[in-house]
Amino acid sequence: MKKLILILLFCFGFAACEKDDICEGTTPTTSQMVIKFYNASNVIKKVTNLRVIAIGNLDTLVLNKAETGPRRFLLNDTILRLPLRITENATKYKFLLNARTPLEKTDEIQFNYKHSDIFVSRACGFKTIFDLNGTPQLPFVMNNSPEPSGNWIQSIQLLQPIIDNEKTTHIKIIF
Amino acid sequence: MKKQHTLKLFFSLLLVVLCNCVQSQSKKSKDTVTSIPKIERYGIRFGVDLYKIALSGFDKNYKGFEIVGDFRVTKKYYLAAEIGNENKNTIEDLLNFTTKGSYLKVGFDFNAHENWLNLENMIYLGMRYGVSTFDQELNSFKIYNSNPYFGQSQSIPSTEKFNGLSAQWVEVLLGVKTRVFDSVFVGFSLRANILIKNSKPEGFDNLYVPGFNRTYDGNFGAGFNYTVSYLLPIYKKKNKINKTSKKTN
Repeated sequence: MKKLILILLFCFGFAACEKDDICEGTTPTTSQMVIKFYNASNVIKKVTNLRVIAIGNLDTLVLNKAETGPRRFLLNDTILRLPLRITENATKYKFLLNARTPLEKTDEIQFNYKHSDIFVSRACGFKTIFDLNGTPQLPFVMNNSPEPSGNWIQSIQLLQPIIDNEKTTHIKIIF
Repeated sequence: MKKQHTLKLFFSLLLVVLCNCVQSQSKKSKDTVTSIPKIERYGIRFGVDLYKIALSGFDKNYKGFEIVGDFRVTKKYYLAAEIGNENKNTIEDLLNFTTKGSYLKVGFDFNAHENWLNLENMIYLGMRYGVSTFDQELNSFKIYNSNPYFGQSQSIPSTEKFNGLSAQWVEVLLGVKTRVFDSVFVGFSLRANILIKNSKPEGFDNLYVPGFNRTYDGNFGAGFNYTVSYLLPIYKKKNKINKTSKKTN
């Protein structure tokens, strides 16, 4: 009988400890689009003072959480993670290189995709998976023209159309 | 959610108290040396879970009932069963879903309480095997967004149905029953559940199982009932209280 009581206590103890009310950061939820920057000879290259704003959004995307002040919005790195709109089939971004300097150059890219919602867990709800090849439109359109080159961007390449994790690179930008 | 953990801690503590209660009772009975013949009633007892009935009354998101029954097999062992039906709408931060289904639990109760004279109280431990068949419907959901740039997700309506689901589990329980008058008993039980089989639907999860209650990331769960029952006596047995046969824990 003592054993039974022990089992019972053990079970209640476990039930009380099991935590699934908080969505932990390690759980894969909606992924952002991963963009990597290269130069013309296909060598990875850092962007300088890149600012990114979604058209229709008043705020500039925070690209450097470690910084404070206006430097939060500037990226000086080889990799960029862009969130996409989860309820629409397109997101248009404005990319400003050397932002707030005399060398500032702007390109606008619209990303077209199909989105679908997948169940994750009680604490994390659902996540969205994007498919850049899921629409009849081109996966990306630069400066409203079908020509895939812009003011500072030389070309864009689609590496992985399905966006369901941030470990792989989805888009390659050559400049 | 913190409230729920506190509740569980309370139950765990209550359990410890009850365990002590059982032990002190057995010690007490060891001291008395008597041999008065005692008449024990054997029969079928059936009743309802008052908690589920009450909850159906004041919670508009819950409709359910449970019928309980037991049959006394030996002096200390009872065959026991519960049958019930639940219709619960669970509303959480990110999910809103409805679970409908029925369940059956079968097992035994072991009365660890030594009664005085014609008392028929029970402090018992038991086990059950539970099965449930149910349907789930997702009413709405939200998308978890780790980047707040486009704001948090609005609730997205859904009508997705997941039918023909089932689950099986084992319950370990601790309970008390007291005869309040004649053949009417009132009691409650606390249950720890372990899922054994769980047929999860494609694209969703069994977040609530009728009879088992809320599920967690692992296989454990917890339950509770508060019953009022009526004993239908079938036959009587004369028992001698034999002190030496009492087990020492």
